[in-house]
Amino acid sequence: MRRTVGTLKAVGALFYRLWMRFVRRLAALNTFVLMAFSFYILVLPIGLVRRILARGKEQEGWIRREPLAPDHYRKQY
Amino acid sequence: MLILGISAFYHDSAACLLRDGRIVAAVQEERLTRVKHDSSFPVRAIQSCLEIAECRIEDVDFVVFYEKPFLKFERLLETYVRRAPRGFASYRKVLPLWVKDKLWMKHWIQQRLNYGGPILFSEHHESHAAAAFFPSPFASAAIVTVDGAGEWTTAAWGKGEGNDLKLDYEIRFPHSLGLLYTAFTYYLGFKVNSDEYKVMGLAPYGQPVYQAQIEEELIRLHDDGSFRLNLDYFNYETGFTMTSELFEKRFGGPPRKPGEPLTQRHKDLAASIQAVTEKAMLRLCRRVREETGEERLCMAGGVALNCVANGRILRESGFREIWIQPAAGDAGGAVGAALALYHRFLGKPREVDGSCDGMGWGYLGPRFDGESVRRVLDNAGAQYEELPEPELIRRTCLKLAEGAVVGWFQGRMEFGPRALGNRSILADPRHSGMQAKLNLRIKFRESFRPFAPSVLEERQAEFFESDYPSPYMLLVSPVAADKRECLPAVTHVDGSARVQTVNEQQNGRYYRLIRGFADLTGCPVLVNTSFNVRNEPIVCSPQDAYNCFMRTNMDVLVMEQFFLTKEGQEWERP
Repeated sequence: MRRTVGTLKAVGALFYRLWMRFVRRLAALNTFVLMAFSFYILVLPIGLVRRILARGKEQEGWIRREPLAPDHYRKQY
Repeated sequence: MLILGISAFYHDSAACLLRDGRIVAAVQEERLTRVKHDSSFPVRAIQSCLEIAECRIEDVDFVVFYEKPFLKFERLLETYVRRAPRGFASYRKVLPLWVKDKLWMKHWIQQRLNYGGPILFSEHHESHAAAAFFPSPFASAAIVTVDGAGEWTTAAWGKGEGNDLKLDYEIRFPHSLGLLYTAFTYYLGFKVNSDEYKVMGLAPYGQPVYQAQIEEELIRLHDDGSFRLNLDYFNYETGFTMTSELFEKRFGGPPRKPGEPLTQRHKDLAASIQAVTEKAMLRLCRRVREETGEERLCMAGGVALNCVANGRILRESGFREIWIQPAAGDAGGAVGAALALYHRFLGKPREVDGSCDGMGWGYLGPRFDGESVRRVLDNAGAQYEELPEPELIRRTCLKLAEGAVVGWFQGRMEFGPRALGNRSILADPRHSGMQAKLNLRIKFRESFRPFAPSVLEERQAEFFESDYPSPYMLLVSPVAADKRECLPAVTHVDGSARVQTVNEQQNGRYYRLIRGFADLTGCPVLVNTSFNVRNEPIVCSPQDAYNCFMRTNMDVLVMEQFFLTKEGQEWERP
């Protein structure tokens, strides 16, 4: 009985390790796909359009800062 | 009223606690975790601040973070948008980190600190400006902040008066003087956001032969003190390196690898970027002097740690007085955020007496009393003597004069990158071989690295070409021509030194030690370098100090009233 339990535990541990390895790879793939999608479908086209619209408009030298409202500390932006 | 300021998640995490507007504690996380430039959420530093102030997190009225995470995230996204299709490799690594952790600062603070009170957010350069102006001894002053990058701002200037300040003008990312310097730090094989001071130390060994090329191709310096980078030479916006292939092509090859020998070309590059930085900072400060009409200047931001540039600003920019936040980098942002909240958000008044600043001479960290030192020594089985102060100073001075290297540990730990006489390694500056001995046998670091002197404030002008107090070791001045041969260990190759002036009010015991050394030898100067070895943070606790003492070839250790010599211990030479 004890031997069976030990074997089951070892098999369970092996399964867990393999499963976690698989899940980590799946998560990495998932993140890659999501990131690639957002980068090439959203970031890139927006960037290209804005580059065309903003051509020659970039400010140089000192930029006047807008005074910060007294309650800006409440905001994270 | 208690306000807790926090800086984290970029480099040099730190915490600062204000009680009724006075800084009662400020600690960098790296000193407690023993991870140099630790950027993790500063749980231990916060705990240490609370212990120093003898209060609990529930007693804290406000917690304030030193920058605005959403604005910084916006800058990241905007940068990817501007550079796409470049930058995907960085985008896919950086974005998940932000979405998972860095954006949710409020949640972090609530969860990690179990804090239910109000959590507020300053702005990165406003935190720097507040850290520069509010603790300064000036009622009104011009303010200059220059660093790598905040949310968007990389440099800004304005004015502070009474309990208010305003930054009027700024330069925005990606145009950054700090990042330009960091790009050269990277190219010269040193760690970014960490080893910039090594470039500054290397510069006097070279000639600024690349200065004209840098000014022609990499950075345009305008007459109004502003500047603009040519981004074709850099890769820091969306890449994993600081410099681009074009940079490498124009400056003679790939970046130096850590550990590779430093050639004359590397030294010339260091001299060139240092010269450009000094020119840019001088031009900026002169412009601010003209525009604001102020005679006093306060500075902060990582570039304000460039003490060679600071020395020139003091001498050549037209300002009568300058005050630099001793923790000018991001650690000081915790101080600035807390002070900004107190004075600007809560409208509390600011008291200035014109002579003493609000930084407590930089001694804002934890203190370890004699009993806790004794416990550490007893547990380690160390052989030590307990001596009254006059005898302790006499014995230490004798050892120093014999050429011994002394670990000096006392009182509250310093806040900021410099050791100011409480966690210091001391030596006799008159010994010509001392620089090499300290670099190679004690600190195990590059042989070119210079050492700084501590001098009695009242005798500074005899030994250095300046009588301007420099308690935080942030100003470089020339060593007096007739004293250069007397102080070989602290005179850099260009005849300069990064001076710390010491008076009795500032640090009584350290002052008495230097005075004792002067009485014995006629020399009121000591070598003062931080109590650590290469790639480690400065020691914090007696245990850290004892470990460092035993791992190096240091000859003597003084911890509070306890005196240890290496001969008295069982140890193996490293």
